[in-house]
Amino acid sequence: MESPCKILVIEDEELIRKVLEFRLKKEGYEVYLAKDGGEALELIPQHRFELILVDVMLPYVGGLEITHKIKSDPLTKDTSVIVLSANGLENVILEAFALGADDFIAKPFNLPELIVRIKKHIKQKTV
Amino acid sequence: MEIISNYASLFYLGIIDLPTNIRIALVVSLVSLGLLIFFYIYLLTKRLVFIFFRSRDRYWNEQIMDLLNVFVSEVDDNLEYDPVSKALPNFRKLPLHRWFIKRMLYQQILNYQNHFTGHASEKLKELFLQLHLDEIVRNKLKSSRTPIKIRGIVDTAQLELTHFLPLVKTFLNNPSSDIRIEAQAAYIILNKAHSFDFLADVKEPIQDWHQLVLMDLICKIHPKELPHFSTWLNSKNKSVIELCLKLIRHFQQFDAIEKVIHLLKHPDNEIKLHCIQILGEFEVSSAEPALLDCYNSQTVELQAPILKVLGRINSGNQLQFLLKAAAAPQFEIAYEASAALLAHGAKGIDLLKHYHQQAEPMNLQIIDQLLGETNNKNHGVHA
Repeated sequence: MESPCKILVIEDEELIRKVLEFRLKKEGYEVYLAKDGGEALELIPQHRFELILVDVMLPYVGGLEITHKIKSDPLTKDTSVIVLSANGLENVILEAFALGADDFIAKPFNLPELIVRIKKHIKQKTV
Repeated sequence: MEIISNYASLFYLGIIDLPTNIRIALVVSLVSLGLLIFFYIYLLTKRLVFIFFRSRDRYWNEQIMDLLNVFVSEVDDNLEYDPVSKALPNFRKLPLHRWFIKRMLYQQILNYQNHFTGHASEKLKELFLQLHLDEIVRNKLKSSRTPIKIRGIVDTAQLELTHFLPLVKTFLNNPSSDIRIEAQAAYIILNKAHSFDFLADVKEPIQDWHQLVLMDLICKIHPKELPHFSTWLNSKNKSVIELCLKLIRHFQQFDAIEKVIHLLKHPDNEIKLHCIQILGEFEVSSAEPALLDCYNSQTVELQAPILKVLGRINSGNQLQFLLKAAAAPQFEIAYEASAALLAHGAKGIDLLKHYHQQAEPMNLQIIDQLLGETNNKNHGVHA
């Protein structure tokens, strides 16, 4: 049996973490949660994630820094990164993409849209 | 009680024969010990109560969040059935007769609604209404305490509870500026068809930073049809006129030009300045006669912007007027007039060069500076 895709959700807002965990598990993914950058950086080397959802504003280590670390590490550079941010400013979006993010979603977001995008990125990776 | 009084009498009889200083020391020690014990018991009780309430709140908060997680996650699953009707029995199982649980659910629905858009957001609002949580909003709106009332207005706007519009309307001219600000912002959101009606009745000044908040809000909510902001340019409230002028400028409402020209006769200089800037930005050549009329009756603070605007309009009809102004002894006037002539291109430059021979030292310096800048720019282009 094929093992489920692993997704890491890095988000300091408990509410979003829980909703995403519930919804993504329902979609059949194996979900890992991190409430700050520190926790995320501990989890990333321990697992091989297919996709990482990361919020820009995080305690300790920011989301853009995490994106940079993921994309600059040869072991994790192929992991898809979707950046979430309440700050939909053009420069934040551009910076996220410049650092290697695969997608950007502005908060508040539409949950079905996010799920569709996650599925798309995972499908692209599998292909 | 009897036991305590017996012990007190025994204690009294025991110490009565002792020397006074020892008696006092004993009484003080006993009182201190009593107070210490009381204080410890008080702290312990307070701590226990805090722990109890915290664990109780955590428990109910988790229950509520679990229900809301399921609700938000499943809201788009099947569009054939109504997710609210399906979820309502589960939410009604919560002991909503207990005030703190109701308040917690209220707060969490607002939090969830704040984080999600689309169908989930709409259905959260529906759930909120079905659970009659809007009663809490009503109570907040009717509260006599300003922070609670403000929270009520903010919540009303967030959930777009249009049935509270009449209540919100009553706060539009509230003596408290904080309430007024939130009420005006909420009114724009709640009354989408006539968002700006309140401008006709605003009696208190709309502060500068609040004008920015309102403008930001208007840009964010993208009303389907913007009103003609010139409608309120005859308001007696100066701040309303200022806000409308800013909105006319931002949304480039060219149909307001006639009224803006008319406003050049307004007694307030700040309003006149706004009008001058709009006419310049819209490059309204038909405004030139009105601007010239205005120029003669103004101080340097307004004359300089008028000259700048004439340069921007660049019609070529006011070259002689600008040349005369370029010879003015006031630096700002001479500078803006010379710059305006320069903006007219070859004709203006020729006039400046011609005037150069007879100019006063200050005016000469201005012209040299401006022509020098132009030459440098041209050389830069050629290079």
